[in-house]
This record gives sequence, structure tokens and C-alpha cells, in this order.
Amino acid sequence: MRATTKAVLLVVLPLTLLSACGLGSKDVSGTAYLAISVEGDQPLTKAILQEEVLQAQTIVEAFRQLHPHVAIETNLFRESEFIAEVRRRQAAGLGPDLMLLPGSTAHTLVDADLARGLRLPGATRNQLDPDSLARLEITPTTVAGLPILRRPQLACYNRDRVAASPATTVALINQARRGLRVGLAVESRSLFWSTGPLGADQALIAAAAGRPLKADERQGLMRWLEWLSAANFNQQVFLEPDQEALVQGLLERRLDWIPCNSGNLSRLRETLGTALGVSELPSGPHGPATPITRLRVLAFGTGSTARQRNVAEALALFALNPWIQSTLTTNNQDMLPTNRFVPPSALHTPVLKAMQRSVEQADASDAISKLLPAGEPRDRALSRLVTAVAFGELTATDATAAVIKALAPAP
Amino acid sequence: MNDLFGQILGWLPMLSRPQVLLQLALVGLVVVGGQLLARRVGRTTRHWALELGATVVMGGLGCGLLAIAQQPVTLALLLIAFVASLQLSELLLRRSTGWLPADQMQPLRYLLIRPFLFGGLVWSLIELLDTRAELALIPLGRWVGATVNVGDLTRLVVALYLLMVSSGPPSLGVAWLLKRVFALERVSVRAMGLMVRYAVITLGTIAVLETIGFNSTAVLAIAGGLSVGLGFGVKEVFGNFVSGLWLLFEGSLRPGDIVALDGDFCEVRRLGLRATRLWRDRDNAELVIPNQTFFNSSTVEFSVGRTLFRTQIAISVDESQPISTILGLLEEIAAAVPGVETHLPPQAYLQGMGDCGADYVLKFWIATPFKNRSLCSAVFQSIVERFQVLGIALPYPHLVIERPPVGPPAQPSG
Repeated sequence: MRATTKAVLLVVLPLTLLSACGLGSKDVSGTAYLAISVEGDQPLTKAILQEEVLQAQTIVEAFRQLHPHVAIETNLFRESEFIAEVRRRQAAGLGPDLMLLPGSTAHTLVDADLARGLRLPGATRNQLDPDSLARLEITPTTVAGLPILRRPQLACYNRDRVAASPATTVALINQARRGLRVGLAVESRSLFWSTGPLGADQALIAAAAGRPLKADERQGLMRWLEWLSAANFNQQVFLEPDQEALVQGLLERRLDWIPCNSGNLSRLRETLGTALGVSELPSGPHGPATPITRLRVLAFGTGSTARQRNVAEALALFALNPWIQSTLTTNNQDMLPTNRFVPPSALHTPVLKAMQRSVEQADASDAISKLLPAGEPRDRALSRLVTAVAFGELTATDATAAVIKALAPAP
Repeated sequence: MNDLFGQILGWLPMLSRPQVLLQLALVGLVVVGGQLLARRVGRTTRHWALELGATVVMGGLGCGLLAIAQQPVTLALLLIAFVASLQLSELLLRRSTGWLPADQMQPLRYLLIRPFLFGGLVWSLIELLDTRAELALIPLGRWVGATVNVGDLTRLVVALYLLMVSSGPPSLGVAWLLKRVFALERVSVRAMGLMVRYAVITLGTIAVLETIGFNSTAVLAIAGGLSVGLGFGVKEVFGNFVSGLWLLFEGSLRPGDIVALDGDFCEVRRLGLRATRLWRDRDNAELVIPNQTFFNSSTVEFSVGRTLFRTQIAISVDESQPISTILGLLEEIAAAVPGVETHLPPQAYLQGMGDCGADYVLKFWIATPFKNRSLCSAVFQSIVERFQVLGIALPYPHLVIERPPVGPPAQPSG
């Protein structure tokens, strides 16, 4: 046999065999690729990795008990780079089959043809939490992805240092004056909870939507910026660059009170044990807190084979069933289910109740999540301005105009 | 380790996707097509320029067609770019044979160009198939007091490779500077460069190991144990290695020097760490001599720029000729032979009276020991020819057999 013929056979034969393997039986078997988005820009550590894949791992392990011939390969990408990563892989034909990501990113992916919209059967639709479903709707019949879990923002504190979380922003600053070490992150998503109590939430939403601000909205925005500036003058209020720095501060007991995401709870609980206190975030004179609830969604890639699509869809539907949702919720107590039929008994712990109260507060933050996706240049500009105000480089008055300008959407 | 293999095996099912297969088939076609075309043109040798041209044209056309059909193309582009880069590097290497030393070609190909290209391909493929940061966190086990993961191991290997490959020229630069600053005339720059290089590699390795978290005491203990083991196991290699370093450091032997080995003059071509490469003029052979040889035996050596060699021939002349005339004649004849140095005039001596006549020695200088045989022969030839013209006999050993005269046989008495 000539060398050239051999070379052709060497290339073609294995590929043909592999291709044939991919077009086999219709039962759920094979390998699907799951891409998971990781919030924040900090370097990936083992702890962050475990935190982000915890729920996905539980779902996959349970699914594999049912379908042992299934393998799920997971890849983690930063939330700010997620869309670019998926686009790059799709361009090589190596895109993920399934993506676990924030709801807003799912919308963007569908708009960019990097994920396919989903037509949900009535039975499935009925099972889902209506608010979560509404955040994902493209048309009345199609959604950008399946909502799997909710991670509300909470107040996490060290009970050895403070018996209960301050109920108001005023009480928070007063306690800080008495020695409570409070941590705040300049990331807009981590800090947005404080806009509601100071009456600045509608101003930020209006600015991000490109709508002119009313006088009272502008006043609210300036009040929030003044509060941030005043808070930083307090020696016991520490401004950190990101959410991960806050978590590390509480873990190392450098901080006593931080706004946290429910996703951080497993890690905090592991280190702080019973000293970890969890509560809803403080309200203020102008309203309740506006915490951001991270909706985690399963979206579907566009380059899958029939078999991979089959596995991905089966896994997504499995992740929705009340049993696995209940297991995920009660096992780790770091998320809320999206299935309405999870038995209420599964949600009867103080931590889960605090999460439910947080979700009920989160109306305004839904809008800001949609208008100002994490990692967008406008989001970074807001963080920079907040830092400048907090450290006294900008006055609240100057910063108000600058924030409105920075948040204006590109024409 | 199992996690890493599991992760790598997890990439394979991507091959079941038609769009991936299509790209791989295109790359296969481009490679095979290029080779077929090149073989058709140049039957005996590989025609790299044609192969490269075929890869670029066929690859460009194929990728263009895939893009028009709105099929993914990045993987094919990446693999074709890798193949084309290999072909281009081969083409450039072959074109540079005129000015690039032959012994630099292989290290350049196998230590620099190919590892870089292959590393770049693997890096890009990982970027497409996996997440580098996530892959780096896969644990490999606990080694020497540190939990090592894939990222640590990769960092260690890359740092060592870069230290090995790139520390050469900067080390030579530092050595040159040290030599100039401290006026170290006798010490070879190359020797100092090697010392600096080994120091950089050792310190760099220790620094990387420290960063990973290896226990430095345990590392030192392992290094000590290895040194003893290697010292006993391969002591000849180590002996030659140390001798090589010493030769370089001392500067007693350098490329271009001429040494006499078993009566033959050889030129030093390359001073290695284990062995020295010599060129022997007599039969144009290259000899690889272990460095220890130069330490264990005395060596006659002519350094570069000091190769003037004083040679001599011995000759017997008829003892009846006037001695002063012969001495003058011998010096005059030798000085007239091309190749014999005239600024250091030849000198002739009477050594004594031999069996055949008066024994003279003629000493003269030549530029290099390599000309010894030919110039000695030329001088001898000139002397013989001139003496024949002048009628001076050159005695040589004669064997004279004298037979006693044979008389009539004696008559028996009686």
C-alpha cells in the first residue's frame, strides 16, 4: 500500500468510526459539554471552582444514576468573557451543548445566535416560578433558557461579633462606629442593594435605560453617593474591589458583616460554622433593600449533534424536577428552587426564609440586571466612579452627573 | 492524574460532530494533497516551497468554501496554520544553510522552532476545547511536601525549558562583561558563560520549585542523594564533565589550537563538556577524545596564533667536505625552500661523525605543524638535488662483503 493511501486511511477511518458512533441509538447516552459562567474577575481558585460547580455536580451525579451511559464535561468561563468564549468555540464547531449562566446572558446569547430559544411545553411552563420565567421570555411561547436556581443577595455576618444583622442602613453605620467591621464592594452588582434604602434605585435604572432623570431621582442618586462617601470616612467600613475580597475578609475574620451571595454560603459555612449569621439586607428611610438575585439558567448551544442535544435536554428537564430541586435546596441551603412544586417543608429553615424575603425585595434589581449586565463597560465605569466618590476624589454632586453620563446606553 | 486523563479523554467526543469532522477532513486533504503535489515535482527530495504553497492555497480555498457554507472554520484554520508554519520553518532552515552553522541547525529545529510551534498548537487547542484556568487546577498529587496541580507542573516544565533554551546568549553576554570588567585574560568567555548559565538554571529551578511550594529541605536532600548516586554510577561522565569545565575555565585548550596526539598533529575543533572534538590532518579524520585524556597525560599544544613550529632533518655528508661550507650550504638551501620561515633563519649543526660520514642536523621554522611532513620532504629534496649538482656525495650505509681469496686445495702428504 502506498504511503499516501495509508495516510488518507489513517485520517479518514478513525473519523468515520467516531462519526458512526455519534449517530447511534436514540436512548440517553453519550457526552455533552456544559459551560458554566463564573461571576467576578478574580483568578479562579479551587474554592471558587467548587462553589460554582456544586449544584451542577449534584444535578449531574443524580442524572448519571438514572442514565449511567451519560458523561457531562464541564468548562468554567468568567461571566465577563462568557459570550466571547462561546462565540470563539462555536466558530471552531466546539461550542458547548448546555450552558449554566445568568438569565441576562442567556438572552444575549439567543440574540447572537449562539444559543437556541426554547419552546416550553405547557406542563413544564406551569412548574416554573412565574417571575423567573418572565425574565427569560423571548416571545410568549419561547424562552432563552430554563431557569434552574436562584441565588439571592443576603447579609452575611459573624455571630461572634454581632448578634443580629442591622435592620437599617443607619443602624449599620452606627454599629460600624461602635466597632463592627463592615465590608462593601465597589462592584455595582454587589453594591446595588444599598440604592433602594437611599432612594437611588430608580435613578440608576432610568440612567441605564437612557431615560432623563426626574429631580427626585437625581436627588436620590446624590444621596446614595453621599452615603457611600460618608461610609468610607468611617474607619470601620472597608471598601473592597470585588465580592470575592469581601468573602475572603469574612472567612479570615477581618470583616464582621458583608453583603454576600447565597452561592458563597457553603464556603462561608465550612469555615465559620455556627458563627455564620445570614439575614436579609438592611432597609432604609427611602425603602427596602434592593438585592440582586442571580438567576441561573440552562441555555442550549447550537452546534450539538442529535445525541448531544438529546442528553442536554434530558439533563435540563431533570434539573427542573421537584425532587432534585428540593435536594439541591435542602442539602446546601445556598439557593432557592425555580420549581413551584418543591414542597414548602423544604424551605423551612431560617437561611432559606431569609433568601425568600430577599427575593421578594428584589423587584428593582431585576431591571438593573437586565439593563446593566455584569462586565459591561458601563458597569465598570460605575464601579470606577463609586470608588472615586468613596475615596473623596469626586464630590457626590460631580459624581451624580458623571454616573448619569457613564450609564447612558450607547446610541 | 486520573482527573487529567479523564478531562483529556472528555475532548474526544467532540469528534462526533459533523462540523468538526469536516474541518479535520479538510486539513487531512490539504496535508496529503500538498505532499502528493510536492512528490510529483521533486521525486527524490521534498519540495518544501511547493508544499507550503499548496497548503496555503488549498487551505485558503477550503476554509473559504466552509465559510461561504456558513460552517465553522477556526479549528481547520488553526491546524492549517500549524502545518504551514512547520513547512515555512523547514523552508527557511534549508535556505539558511549558507550562513547558519550546520551544528546549529538541529538544535534550532528541535529545541526552538518545533517545541514553540507544537506548544502554540496545544495551547490554542486547549483554549478551544477546555478552560486553561480550570485545567490548571486539576491536582496531580502531593510531591515533596507540596500539592502539585497541572498548572504548577506546566509552569515548572515551561520555566525549565525557557531557562535551558534562552539562558545561553544572555549568559555569554554576562560572561563577556565579567571578563572585561575583571580583566580575566586567561579565562575563556565560553567557560564563564557556561558557569553563569548553570547558575541561572539552578537558581531558576529552585525559584520555580519554591513558588510551587516544594519543601526546600527535601529538594536539597534529593539533590544530595542524586549527586552521590550519579557520582558512583557514572563517574567517568562526571570526570569528563568536570575536566571539560576546567579546560574551558582554565583556557588551556581552545578551538583552533593544535595538539599532538600519538605523534599526529590535530586541530581542536570543538570543546564539549564531555569530550573534545579534534581534526587529524593525516587522514582528515575527526576524533572524539574524552576530556580526562588531557588531564591524565601531558599534551604538546600550539595555541591559536602561536603555531610556528621548529622542525629538523638529519643528513650525512661526505666527511672529506669542509664543514663550514656544508653548514652554510644547508642553511642557504633550506632558506630558499618556499614555506620555510626566513625571518627566523634555518640553522645547521654538525652532530658528529657517523658510520657513513659527517652527521649534520638542519633546524628550520615553519608556519604550522601541519606542514611538517611536506616541508621536511621539500627541504631534503632540495639538498639532494643541490649536492648532486655540486658533486658532493651523500654517503649512505654500504654493505661490503669481503670474501677471503680461494687457493688450490692442499695436497695430502704422504
